[in-house]
Amino acid sequence: MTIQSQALKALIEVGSNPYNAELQNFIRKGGKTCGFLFQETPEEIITAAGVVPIYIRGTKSEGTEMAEAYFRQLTCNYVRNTFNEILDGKWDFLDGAVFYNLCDHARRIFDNWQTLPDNKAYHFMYIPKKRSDLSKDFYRQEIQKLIEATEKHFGVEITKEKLSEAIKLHNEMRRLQKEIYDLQKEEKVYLDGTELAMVMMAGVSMPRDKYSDLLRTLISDLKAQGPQIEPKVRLLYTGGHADNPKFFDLLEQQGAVVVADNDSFGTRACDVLVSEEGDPLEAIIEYYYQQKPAATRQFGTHEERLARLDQLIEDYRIDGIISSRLFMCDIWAFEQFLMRNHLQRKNFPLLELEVDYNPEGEGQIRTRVQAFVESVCDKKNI
Amino acid sequence: MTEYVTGNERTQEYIDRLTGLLQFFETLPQEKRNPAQEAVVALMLDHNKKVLDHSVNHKPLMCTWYGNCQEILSAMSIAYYNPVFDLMFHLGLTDYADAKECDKFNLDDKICSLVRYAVYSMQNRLHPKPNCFIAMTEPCDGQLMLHQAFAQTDYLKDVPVYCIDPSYGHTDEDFRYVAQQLKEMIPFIEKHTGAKFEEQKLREVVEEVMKQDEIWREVNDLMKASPAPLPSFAVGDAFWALTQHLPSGDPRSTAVMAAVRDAAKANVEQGVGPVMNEQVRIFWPDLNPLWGDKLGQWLAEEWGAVIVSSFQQNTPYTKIDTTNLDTMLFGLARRAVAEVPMIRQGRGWVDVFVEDLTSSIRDYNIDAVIFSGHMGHKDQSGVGQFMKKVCRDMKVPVLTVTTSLFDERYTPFDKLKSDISNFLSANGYKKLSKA
Repeated sequence: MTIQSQALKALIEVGSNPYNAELQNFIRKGGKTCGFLFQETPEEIITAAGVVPIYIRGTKSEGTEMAEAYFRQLTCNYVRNTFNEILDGKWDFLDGAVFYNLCDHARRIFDNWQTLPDNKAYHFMYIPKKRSDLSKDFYRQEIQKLIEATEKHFGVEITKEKLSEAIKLHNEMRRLQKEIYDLQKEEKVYLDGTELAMVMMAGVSMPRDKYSDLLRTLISDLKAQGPQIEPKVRLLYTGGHADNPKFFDLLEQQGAVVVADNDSFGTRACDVLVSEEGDPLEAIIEYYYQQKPAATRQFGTHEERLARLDQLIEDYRIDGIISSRLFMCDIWAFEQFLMRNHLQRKNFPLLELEVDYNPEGEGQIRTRVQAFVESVCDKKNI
Repeated sequence: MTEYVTGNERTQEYIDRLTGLLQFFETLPQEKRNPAQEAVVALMLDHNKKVLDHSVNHKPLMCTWYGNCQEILSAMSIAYYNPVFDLMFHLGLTDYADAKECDKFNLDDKICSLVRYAVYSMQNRLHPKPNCFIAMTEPCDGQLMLHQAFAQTDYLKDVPVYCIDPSYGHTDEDFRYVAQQLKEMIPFIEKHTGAKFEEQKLREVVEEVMKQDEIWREVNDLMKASPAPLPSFAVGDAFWALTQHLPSGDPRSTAVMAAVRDAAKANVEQGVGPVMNEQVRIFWPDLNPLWGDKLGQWLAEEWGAVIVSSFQQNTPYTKIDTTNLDTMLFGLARRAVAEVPMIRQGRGWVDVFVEDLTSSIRDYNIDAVIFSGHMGHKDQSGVGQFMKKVCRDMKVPVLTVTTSLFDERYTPFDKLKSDISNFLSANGYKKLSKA
């Protein structure tokens, strides 16, 4: 760790471990949890049910042996590792889980989970793959179904007041996260890429009020101690399903630091707030459907996505981008294809990696990153 | 090598090659000729000529996909093409020339071969520039993403796109959502092509399409006979091309389908079929492979086996109510997202896959299932347990392999033959030579 902070230590522990001590403590006290997939599940609705939304992931998985019977090798290892953990009972602590049509790999977790005796997945929502008035109306109906299913599953009523409170809770978290990212824009930065990723990942792995408390303490610690890292090369990371600290460790070498990201659980999660004015349900719909930075799976948003990338390069004074996709991920293979064409026109450095969910071939990744950083240094004449 | 500048050059090549192919057919002795095949090729030639004419003479021209309610385009007299249909057909006539070029294309080779062909062909101007696109976002992630790659090319960046969002379920609410989009799509098409929409013309096309549906149903029923009256994959290959890639609702296509039905009917009545010593009836739960002829022939000769049905052949099309525009669009929407092969099984939950597998095994008296494990169908990579359960419950053995349906080089054919032979032997079947 670059700074002395108990809050940072706690957040890294939470971010690295889906079933972390904070979560265990919450559950021990009778708290309820609901698993979900990034990045378009409207978390506020789950929060409004008095339940903590927890991102389902196989970060701690040590293999895929049990999942092999359910998912062949054409399925990405995020799904295979995650489902292995489900089969191994590691997610038995959940009180429920909701899914959506994130991608061809992840949507089949829902189908397969339905066949298991202790199935937690109580609802699947369809999120349109494009933006239009018609699709927004359809999305509104899907949100309504999610609310009804969640109310029924948890035996609660999700009122407008509860939704407003949930929006405030999540917005507060986003404001604090954004404050941390703003600090990273300075010439010297406060957190390295691994720390930053784990701080953000913690935000989907524990009760949100407690998380915001930790963020406040962390920000106070960061400001008190000042920026400790002077990056020789400022990197931006973007990709799908990278949530393992080991992976981010591999990206930072020879003075290169991942100062920011374009991740679904990173800047994309906190750059925009849900409106606290007017009808809270409409505000949630507007945010997730229209206002939140576009997900790769939203048809026709590629120009918006690439423009956002350009803006991040400018805002964080980025020297090079590292992008990774999981083996077999068609969506991110295309996203890299689009990014490559876009960045080549600008002659902007990009390193594309194809990786396993739980990093393997560390030496090869390290070597490629090293060569990339050297090429960026050459370009910067340093 | 041809320089592709206007996008029309490749279509002209297709026309030249198909013309030569038809001339070659005429040189064959009568007993070697296949009238249905010749008729399909003639329709393809005609279609290519039409596409070229529309491009050169600035008549309405669009690019779209199977399952995108092409009936609407046909009713508006718009020439349209699919980005991969011609390219894939001509692979077999050109020693896989495009596939080999596509190997060099800088897009992940673990993406579906078909999707890669589409992006490769658009980037290399192998198609005339359309007035507009109809994109589809199902059944796979590759389809969702590829039009965004098209839009990044200088050639196509200014071509407008309408995207049909498919929903996930099979309720009237889902179909109404898609139907509303179709209603929105019509003025989009009018605006960008200049073509006019008329409800009566759509009715005529839909009614012709329903005649084709009825014929297809009859042929599927005939394929339940033993010996099967037609060879492996034949029905799905021919009828899919006629109904999804060539102009929708063309009475000439209906006539070809009727001729195939009559031939099948005659075979059933006479108790004959291409594999007289039929001992294994196989179901293929996926689209037909481009290399299906080769596989079918080997299965017939070596094992007396016939693939009597596939998901591509299985078309449970519901009759469309032609009372008014809304009822027609509703019926077309239901067809587009819940009935067209592959989209039907790949788009939503796994229940449709299970339902279709179950009914096919039961209705076609299936002895074995061979699952292609197509490298592009990532969703199907997660259905193995369901498939195994259905087959176990119905006491039918299942073999899962890994292939590319659209690139025979992906899995060496000898390896495939070996896997299938081991599977059939292990299940008690004997090669014809040893039977």
